[in-house]
Amino acid sequence: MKKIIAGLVLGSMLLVNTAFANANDNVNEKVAAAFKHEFVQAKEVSWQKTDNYFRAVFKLNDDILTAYFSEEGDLMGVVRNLLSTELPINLQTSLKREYAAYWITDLFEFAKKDVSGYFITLENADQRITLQSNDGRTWNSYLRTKK
Amino acid sequence: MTLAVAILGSAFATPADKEPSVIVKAAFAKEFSTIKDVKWEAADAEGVYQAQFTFNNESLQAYFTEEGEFLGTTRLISVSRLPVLAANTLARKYAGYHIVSVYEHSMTESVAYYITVSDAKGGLMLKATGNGELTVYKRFKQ
Repeated sequence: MKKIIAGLVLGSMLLVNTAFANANDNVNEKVAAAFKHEFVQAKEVSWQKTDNYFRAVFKLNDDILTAYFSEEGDLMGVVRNLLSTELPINLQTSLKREYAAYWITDLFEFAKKDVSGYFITLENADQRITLQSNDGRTWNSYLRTKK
Repeated sequence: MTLAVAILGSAFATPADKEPSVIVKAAFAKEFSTIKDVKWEAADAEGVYQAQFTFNNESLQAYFTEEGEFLGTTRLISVSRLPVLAANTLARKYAGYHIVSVYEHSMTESVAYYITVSDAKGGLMLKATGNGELTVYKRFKQ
């Protein structure tokens, strides 16, 4: 499970840093059909493409989501940025208890098929830590770096 | 305590006959150390206390046994706060329904979401998980 999630997140990060070409007019039928099937109520969709992936940015329930598809129409993952108050309560209380001295620099929900979770990056003057939660209850250390 | 008790607890809770014990209050303080303003009620299950309070500007209910065991929390959330997979499954399977309410139920061992929807025929309470599983938990007649 951890490997799947780590792969998805690292993949997403790499995708974010990859140059995308505007692909609104060039989404192939498989990808377009897969997107329509997965996100029935999506609005305001814009597409971008790399050599291997399509990226759709769209609105769903007033949120902005980013979904990644392979050229074969396989959904690689979905990412949604969050506010800390939008986390499940157990994760919020854990942050207050254990990381009160840190500030949040990044927080997102990721999902792929039947796997989902949260990643948060926290910083203080000395270090940057990334935590992940796969169960909506507890945080696990994912990455820790000194500044 | 059943899940239904926790979910419906806020609707059926009554003022507690007596103040919760020091043990219960200590258990609350351990979970929510920054909260000072708490309203205690008796949940709709014997020996269970419901603490009503505001956390991060949201109304929250937390449940404790007389022995101080923390059972979990419930909060009313908007449908947009459902996890992506759960929201997407809901949109696909229940597109024609009106969404009445969505509750997040965080227990010590898991998190679940209870969504009440209705149409002309009646209502349903659905149970969703963060991984997008969505099942009918309860049916209501019109």
